[in-house]
Amino acid sequence: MFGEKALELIRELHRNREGTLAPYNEDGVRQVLEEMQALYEANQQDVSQLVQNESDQTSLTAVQIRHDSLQRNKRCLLAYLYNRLQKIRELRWEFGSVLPANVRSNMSPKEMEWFSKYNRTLANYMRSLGNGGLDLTQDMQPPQNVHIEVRCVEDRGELELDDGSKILLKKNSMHFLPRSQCEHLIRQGVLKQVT
Amino acid sequence: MDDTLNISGLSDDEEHLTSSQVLQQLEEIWMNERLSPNLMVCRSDITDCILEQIQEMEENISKAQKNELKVSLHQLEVDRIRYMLSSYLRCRLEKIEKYASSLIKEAADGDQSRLSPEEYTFARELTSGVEAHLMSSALRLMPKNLQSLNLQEYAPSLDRYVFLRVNSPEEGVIVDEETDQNNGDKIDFEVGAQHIMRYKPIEHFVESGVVSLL
Amino acid sequence: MLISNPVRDFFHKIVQERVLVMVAQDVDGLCACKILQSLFKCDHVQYTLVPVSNKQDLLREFDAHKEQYKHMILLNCGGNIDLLDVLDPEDDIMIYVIDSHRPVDLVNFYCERQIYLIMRHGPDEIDLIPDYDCIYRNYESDEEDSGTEYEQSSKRHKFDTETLEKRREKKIWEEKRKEIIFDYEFSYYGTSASVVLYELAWKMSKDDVTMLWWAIIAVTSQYQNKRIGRERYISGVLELQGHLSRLNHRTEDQDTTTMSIDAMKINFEHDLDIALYRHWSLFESLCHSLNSSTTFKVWTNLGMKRLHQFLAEMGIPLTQCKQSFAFMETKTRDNLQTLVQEAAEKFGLRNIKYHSFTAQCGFIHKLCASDAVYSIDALLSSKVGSELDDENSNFVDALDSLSRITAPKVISGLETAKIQLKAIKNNVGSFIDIGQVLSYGPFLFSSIKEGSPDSTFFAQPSFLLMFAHYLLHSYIRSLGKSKRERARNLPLVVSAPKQDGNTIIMGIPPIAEESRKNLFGNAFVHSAERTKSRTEHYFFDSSAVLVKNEDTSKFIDALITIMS
Repeated sequence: MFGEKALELIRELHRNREGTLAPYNEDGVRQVLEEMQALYEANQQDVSQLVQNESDQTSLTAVQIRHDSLQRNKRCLLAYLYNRLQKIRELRWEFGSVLPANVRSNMSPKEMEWFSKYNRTLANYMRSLGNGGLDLTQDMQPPQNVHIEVRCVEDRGELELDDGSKILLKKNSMHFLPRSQCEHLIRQGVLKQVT
Repeated sequence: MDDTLNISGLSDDEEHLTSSQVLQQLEEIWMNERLSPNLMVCRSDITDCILEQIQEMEENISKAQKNELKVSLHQLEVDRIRYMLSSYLRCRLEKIEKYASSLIKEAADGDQSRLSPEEYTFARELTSGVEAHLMSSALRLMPKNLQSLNLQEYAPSLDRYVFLRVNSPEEGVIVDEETDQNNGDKIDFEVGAQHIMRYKPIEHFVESGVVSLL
Repeated sequence: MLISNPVRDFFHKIVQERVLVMVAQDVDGLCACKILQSLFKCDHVQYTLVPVSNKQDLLREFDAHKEQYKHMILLNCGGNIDLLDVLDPEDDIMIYVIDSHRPVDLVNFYCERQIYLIMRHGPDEIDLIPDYDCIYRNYESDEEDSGTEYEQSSKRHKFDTETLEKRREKKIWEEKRKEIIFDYEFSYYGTSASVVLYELAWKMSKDDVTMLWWAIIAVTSQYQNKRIGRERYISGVLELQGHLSRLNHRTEDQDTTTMSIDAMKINFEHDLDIALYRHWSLFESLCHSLNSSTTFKVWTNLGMKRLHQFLAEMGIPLTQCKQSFAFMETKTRDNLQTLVQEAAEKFGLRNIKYHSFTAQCGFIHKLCASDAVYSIDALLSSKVGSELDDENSNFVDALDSLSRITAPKVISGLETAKIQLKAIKNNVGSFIDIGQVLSYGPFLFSSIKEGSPDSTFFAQPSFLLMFAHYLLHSYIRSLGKSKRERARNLPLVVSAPKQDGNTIIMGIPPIAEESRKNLFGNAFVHSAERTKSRTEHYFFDSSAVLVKNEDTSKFIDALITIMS
């Protein structure tokens, strides 16, 4: 069946769990492209035959079906790529400009390229806000308190705070800190807010 | 926080607004932005003013004595305002990212642009990035006649229904302009009334502040 | 040194700082920690909180954090250790100690700076501390100053009467000092750290019902673990009740309708002194509570029979007694206290009721203070020894269970507590049956054999302590009248092997000792010195010690000699 492989890519998107990125399916993309090429060549052949032999209805239908399959494959492929970009974008907002290694290893080189460009674009925009810029990836949750209680989930060594003092993040230790200082660590899963 | 600030409003004559009024406006545009299907016109006047205020307050706080109740209250207030502002801008960014191409096209067509210059740059860079990626990863390898890409098709749907509340009276609002037989359903907006309507016919009312979205 | 005004000299000093809080992993420490956390929250004091379960932990955490913090608070630990010696803090580090372990280390008490003790100034607490003059005198410095001169001229002055007099005086003084210190070194528990902190909160008008509840739990745990006698418990409870009525009065002044049903309410009441009965069945609870199980001698057939007679006396059908308390008939449940008390009098079951507190949120079951203690104790020891040997996650769980009485952790703690109580009951029964409690003259002794099925439980000091109390009470009940009186005045020593080649040896004071003073701390030190046993005085409570397995027997032998 035509389009089967493209559909598989879409299914893969669908299966992707939240907050993770499935490996880039280079093989799948290539196969779809190959299928498209084959379809295209078959069409070319049929069309040139059609020009010679005008009354062949069956090949006309075949051409049409192939054409639709091509369109469908194109759409699926673009959806696959585009949605992955969306996912990477989400992860950018979640983890900051440096993505975790397990996410990075699942990205294609071209996606990496896109990601660094996106990073630059976003950074430029955020810097242009006000005089000193405004980090939009902070303040994701409406604040309830200036300070929050957090529990450290993994050993993280020292954390330097805005006022220059340092604290040691050890597993299972608990801290009471200004929210702004630990928001990104909470998102990275190093700290957990205690409610 | 009650000091009067001089900001340049939309109208030509200088408007004097207290910071609490600016804050109120921020709240208003923030809610509208989050609820409207389309990107609203950019209000850099308000956001710039708020940003300035945040900076000022933060400076005051850093100068003040630590651990005073007043200080922590101020700090929380600043955090809240910054959250609202960030959330507003984030919301815009999300829409811009989604509809970047159509927004750029709209700007190029010479309509009043919804985008601020910075946002425009952002949208431009973003679309060029996405296009380049799609092109090099897939389109380039497709048969020649399939290599076209039209991202502008992704435009917001203005036919969505929205909840709204009326702020100032307006008579003869056309609800449904597009029917041929019926010469337009018209209703009158009364202050405080709440409606559910299609977004498109009331879009300009949201922009002008006649109604707010709920 | 002792702080006379904790608000000024303690709280206001640290309120501007970033502080490190080190918390002992026991109920009192946890409750104190919760109170301190709320106080810090009010004033936005930034802190880091680390649990410590023994002296080694304390030193390790101190070293890990000493670069970052200049102000440290020790909750329910450290008061009875010479902190300057053990931690060797830099000059700019201030250590504040809120600890219920007594005796207070004299160096901590008399040092001029760096160590600050926050404790009650009541007569029970301070009077016992010997005067400075009795233990420190300038003899040493005199000698050092004039040391060289003294040596050179020693021949000349050998018969100098003045010097002789001085020496004699010094000798007398030294002996007296030894005696005083020996008397002083009995370990016992003072006012709980939580109550001390609660009072601090109260003085600053920052106390509330939740903080009071934590203080209540701490006091209840001291009583439940036999760390304080009944008298001190009652006076502690009455004090807390005073605070409670003050707080309740305050809320009455406000519009009562504004109080949400979900807000916590504490009630002061006469309650049954049996374990977990609200969350168990009456029958099981009676079987597993210290008081009732020892009175009935539930480990014998006769005892079981008597327990059934007791239930019959109350007129409650056995099926109801054996089903979960929540499903008993409402009428029976309401009358339960009177029924139990009337029957208890006939069966010689004394002190079945006591003053206690219950807390309630919304419409769920009440949680009484003693059950809360069981739950927290169980949570603190639940994962130790198992594959998930992570004491710190126990700490986190227990702390969570304290934040709300409706927290799911409370229930899981209660279930674990039931398992522990069952293990205690079974082991106590078999120990008595096969005569594993031996009289060694000055004390009773019982050792848990390696490879016993519940050895993971026994490796946990808090479990061992509870077991020791059950065992001592049960043993005394199992004796004849004549022997019983003597045994009431004997302390008990238990030993339990740990997996790492060490044995925990723990001593508890005799039943008759109302002040709950424990002389083992000192005796253990001496015994270890005498036999050169490889021991570690590892626990915050000095009446428990770790001894290498091979050295256990000579250690115990020496203990017998020392104590006779």
